[in-house]
Amino acid sequence: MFENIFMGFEHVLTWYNMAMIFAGTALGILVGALPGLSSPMAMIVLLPLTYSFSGLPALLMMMGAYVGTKLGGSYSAILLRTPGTPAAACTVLDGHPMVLQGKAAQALGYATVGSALGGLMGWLAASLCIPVIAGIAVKSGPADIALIGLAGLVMVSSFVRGSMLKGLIGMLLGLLLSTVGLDPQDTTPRMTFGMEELFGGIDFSAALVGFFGIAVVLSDLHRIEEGATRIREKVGLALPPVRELCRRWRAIAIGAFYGLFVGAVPGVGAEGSTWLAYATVRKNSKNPESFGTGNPDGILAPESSNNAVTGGTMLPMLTLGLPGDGSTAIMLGALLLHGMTPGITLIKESPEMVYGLLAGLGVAHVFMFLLGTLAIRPYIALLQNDRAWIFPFVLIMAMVGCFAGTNNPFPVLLAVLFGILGHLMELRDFPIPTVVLGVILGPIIEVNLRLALSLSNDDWWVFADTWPRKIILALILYIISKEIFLELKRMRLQSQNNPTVTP
Amino acid sequence: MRDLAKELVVTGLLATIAATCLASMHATERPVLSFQYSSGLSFSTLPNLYGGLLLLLCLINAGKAVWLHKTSAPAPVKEKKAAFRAVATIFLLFLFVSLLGKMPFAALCAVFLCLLFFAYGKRKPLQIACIGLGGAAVLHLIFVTALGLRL
Amino acid sequence: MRFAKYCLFAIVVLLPLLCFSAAKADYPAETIHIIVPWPAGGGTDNIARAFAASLEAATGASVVVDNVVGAGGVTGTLQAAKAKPDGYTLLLQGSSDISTVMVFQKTPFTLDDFDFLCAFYSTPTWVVAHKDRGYTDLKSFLEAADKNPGKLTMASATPAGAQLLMAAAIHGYTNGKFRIVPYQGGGPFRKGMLSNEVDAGVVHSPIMLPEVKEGIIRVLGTGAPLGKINYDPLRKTKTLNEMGIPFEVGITRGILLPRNTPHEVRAKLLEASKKAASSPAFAEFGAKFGFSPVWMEGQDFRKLLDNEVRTFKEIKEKFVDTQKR
Repeated sequence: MFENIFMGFEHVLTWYNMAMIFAGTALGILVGALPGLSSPMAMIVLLPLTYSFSGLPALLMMMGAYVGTKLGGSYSAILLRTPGTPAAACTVLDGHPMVLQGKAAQALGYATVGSALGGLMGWLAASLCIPVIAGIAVKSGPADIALIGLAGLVMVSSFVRGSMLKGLIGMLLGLLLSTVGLDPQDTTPRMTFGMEELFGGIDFSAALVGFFGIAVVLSDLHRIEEGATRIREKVGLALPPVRELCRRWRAIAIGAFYGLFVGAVPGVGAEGSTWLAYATVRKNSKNPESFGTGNPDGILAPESSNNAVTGGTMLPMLTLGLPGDGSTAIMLGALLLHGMTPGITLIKESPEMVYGLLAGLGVAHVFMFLLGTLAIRPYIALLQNDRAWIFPFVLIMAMVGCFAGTNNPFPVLLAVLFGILGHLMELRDFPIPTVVLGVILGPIIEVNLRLALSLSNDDWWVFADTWPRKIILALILYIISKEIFLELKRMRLQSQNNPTVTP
Repeated sequence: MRDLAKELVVTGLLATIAATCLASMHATERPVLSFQYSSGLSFSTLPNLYGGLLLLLCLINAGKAVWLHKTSAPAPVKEKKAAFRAVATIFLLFLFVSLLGKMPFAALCAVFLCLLFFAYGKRKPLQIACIGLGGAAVLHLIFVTALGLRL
Repeated sequence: MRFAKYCLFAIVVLLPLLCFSAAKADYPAETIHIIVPWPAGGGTDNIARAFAASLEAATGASVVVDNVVGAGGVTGTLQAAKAKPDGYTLLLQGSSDISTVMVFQKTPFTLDDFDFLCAFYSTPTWVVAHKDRGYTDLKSFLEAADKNPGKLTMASATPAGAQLLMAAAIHGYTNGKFRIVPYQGGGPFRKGMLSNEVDAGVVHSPIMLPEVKEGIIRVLGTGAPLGKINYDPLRKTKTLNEMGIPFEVGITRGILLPRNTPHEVRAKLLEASKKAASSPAFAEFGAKFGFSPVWMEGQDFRKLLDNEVRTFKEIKEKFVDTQKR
């Protein structure tokens, strides 16, 4: 097995291929940082270029872009409170508060290191246990995916500091929005009010751009005067000291674990794994209340997770032809265009492709780390300008980026509406991440829940059939009961401290 | 009082969304199929569940707000300015969406950017024009030239 | 202020770019856009991109693919129908994709809104099963279903489309005792098939072809003759017609233009498309993808579609909708 990986490296470590990975990663970081432009979009742009280049270099470039967007998205999530890619949505929670405390460079540093380490850990684990990862991809059935989605959902309590009621409301709104469209099983139009544009459901980028991009700008408008002068920070060494990292190894490891294994389950991807990682790290930490105020663990966990996902999604794509998320699906398409069918045939006929790409994944993370570190200062210089200049650009990029994903202006209108709704909700302290969580996890849960029941002939016990499912189910029930208990305790304390005041 | 009003408005908005969705689901007929896919969950189960819970929680939230409310200080001036800017932004956003694709992209961006800069307090016309036009050019490069969008 | 000066410089440099306008030249002088109403990376998208590359070589103009996703293909198709008929916006659609969407939904367009240029790639729809299930052909599957009523499952790659109609037709014409389970597309279907979650499945070929070649998946039957497939052992697979199920379905992909495209533009495009479809590069793609390209003129393509709409409506009314209670 090691010979294969060495062989892969042999093919990758040429000047030409390295240059391709480098270019792709740089492009990815750039594209990822722009709100509204996402990873699949970067892939689609590079897709025609694969005609001019031969197979391996072209795909190495795409993979570099894939890895790069994971980091780029986090930069705008931290600095602008609006994630450049959906995978970075979780990083906003602790990333931005750090910026408000004047520690912008450190926040970016944590993100860079977390992404690189998590990605490399995921890559290493994926390469060493190819059969395990591939096995997970094949053996995970719709019941497993539905349970994972549900687990992510109950962790919503982790993102709500204060009112659980408002967190639940946000989550339910997101879930409700996710059901708009044609029913996945019998294609009945649900809540489409006769508009064909809604038949396909609410486009995810519209929800993200609206609730995160536009709503954030609207909410932060009152901060325009505050940031009038350029923050001339003393940007010291942005990267966190090694001792710090060693102390926080748990966050990175848990993130990588979730990223790799949840990424291997086709369909969930980084959007789900980052929240799970964040919630788990928070629950196991010594001071959970500090999460959401700028705890570096809150950056390390989701960052490490969303890069480890690349190992989890690439592997089943290469070995079985099962893409784990949208970007890998496009890479799969690129391979098909070059006449290569990922799967057992590919490993036999062109192993240099499979192992070359795997080796390239590791190299891409190293480049991402280097480029990321170099990019910290310019990004801060660019984005810490007067917000009055920055915000209009963010608004346009977010909206046009939303258009670019669908080539259709309707989602942009939806995004604006969501932006207004999100802003109003934020004014009243409704946590927006829960809405986005609902929109992301809603379809995953519903489609897989109903598919699992279809396959099992409506036997609900299928959700407790195998050991992994029993474990996840037990975890879910445990978390729900613990949260209810804690919330009741909190409410009792609150009513003791604040007797009702009547006018 | 203002706090309570705002809370009720937002909660009411969410409750209205929930109610509209529930009503819409109620009005949708189910196409009965000659062979069944799965009888456990129908097309309306989850939307009704989510909508119903959302409505319920909104009502609870409204009730809680009324029960617990205290008088609050009047809004500071800064908030009024931010509110004006928010309204201006929203108006311009709608304008942008409706004109997207109907006029040249670079021109639309330039106008939009300059107007927003003005709304956000910038007053030096040369500065506004430079960054607005320059920014529009860069956006055009990214979205029309590089990404090839039909705008 | 330095920033503002920099922007001024940028404008001066970039303004010529923005003012540049192409002179009115012969077709094709601008970029040709092919709208694909499906997401990037899928089967139709791949075929479209391969064709786009060959068309670029044949016309000398730049040809790009726009994925306009939504509503089972309606959004992209509608956008193409409303586009300017100047020959720079093409729609790549598949026969049973567009006809089924018209049968299942009230679409805001009809076949008359389009000018049919040509069709160049045809793939039948087939029934496959995991080898571990042990079925050798459709008959053995049906027999097993009769012995265990309600227990066996047949997957359909989409909940409303040609693939579902084929499953429904099989179910209806043979009074099958199996359940139909819809998946959300080729990707999830493939995963379900490989995980052996279902007993059999209906999907457009050549999805699952590599696994068939490996021996993991078996082909139980096909909706249309497989004579042209690039894999000998499958050429003689029995069609539904041969098995007593009077239903034929495949997907023929071709180019549609908005109505009222001028004649000269259409003629030039037709010639270029013919060159592209018969080019060695596209043939090579076809060989690797599973089928060789075909060629069908516009009117024949339109006739095929009219036929399909009629047949699909019948099948839908007979087997998918209930009888009026």
